[in-house]
Amino acid sequence: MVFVELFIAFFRIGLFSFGGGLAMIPMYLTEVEKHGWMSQQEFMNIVALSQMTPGPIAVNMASYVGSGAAGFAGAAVATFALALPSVLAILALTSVLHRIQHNPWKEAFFFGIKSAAMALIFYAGWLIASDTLALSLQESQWSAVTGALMVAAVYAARVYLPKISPVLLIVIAAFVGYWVF
Amino acid sequence: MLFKLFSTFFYLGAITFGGGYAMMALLEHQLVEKHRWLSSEELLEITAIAQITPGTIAINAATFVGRRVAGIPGAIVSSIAIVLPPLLIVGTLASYLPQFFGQEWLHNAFMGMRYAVAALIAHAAVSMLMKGVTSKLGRALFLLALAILIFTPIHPLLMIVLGGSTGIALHALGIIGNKAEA
Repeated sequence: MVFVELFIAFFRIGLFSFGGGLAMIPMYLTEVEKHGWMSQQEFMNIVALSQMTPGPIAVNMASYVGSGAAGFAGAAVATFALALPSVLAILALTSVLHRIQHNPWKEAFFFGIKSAAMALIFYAGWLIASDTLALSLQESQWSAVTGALMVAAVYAARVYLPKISPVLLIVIAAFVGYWVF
Repeated sequence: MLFKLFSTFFYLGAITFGGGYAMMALLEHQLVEKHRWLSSEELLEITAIAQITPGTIAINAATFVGRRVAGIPGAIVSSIAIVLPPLLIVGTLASYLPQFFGQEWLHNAFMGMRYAVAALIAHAAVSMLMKGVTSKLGRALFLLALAILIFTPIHPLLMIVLGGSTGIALHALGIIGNKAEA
């Protein structure tokens, strides 16, 4: 029964993977090949597509694979199964955290993980910028310079024109990208 | 409140491209600046928690925020809302999307968007650092963590565990007090 297989496979992926969507690729690949839902090449195309379709990468990958295996219902089952461990884990954790709210050891732990999380966020921004710059450089130096200027312009807009929503800035950048690259 | 949570996370699910960190920039704007459901510091805690709990960061963050704002119904509503847009788009259009995304003009538009997202993450990160990590010690740890990320191939999960252990060690040594000066 394909729905049961999809449910078990994606529940397992959701349970045993930590972090963002791209970190999950090896687990996806194992499950997809084991069940013969698609070839490795097809799956790699889906990884690229998942970064372009709106929504979290992991959810997109689940929807694509599920849809390929069993249509819309397959996509729904895969997505639900993927999300379930996340939701249960967070609900369990928040009730524990609530109970030890003012524990000094908990506060010391959070003191440490906040600095680490902060570093991860900076690093993520850096990775996206440097990856995209490397892609631009393959095309021309001019497009890399334009890209760097766009980063500076969007940053300046957030600082000096905070009323403009980030989403509008992304839309504007899409149009600028369409015209200049 | 549930409706507001649903519409906010549905919106976030529909407009975020890329991974959980790209979403952080928009979460900061929506949840901290606009709705004031969380402080910068809490958002930072959620990011760390989302990294060390099973599952994808975006769903973890949605569940956590929903739970904080409106209890368990809030957690369920937020989690469903964030996966709904991608499920609807991909689930119904999966066979047409490869052709659609193969087009040159779209590739260029996405390049522009990626530059914008990098700048948005940088801006959200700086503002979270200013408001969420205020002590000298916390900032020194941040710089150390960033250096480790840049110069070694450390796994993000390990980075968070390392950060937490450092905090606990500092407390055990009596360097940070009962009320951790975050």
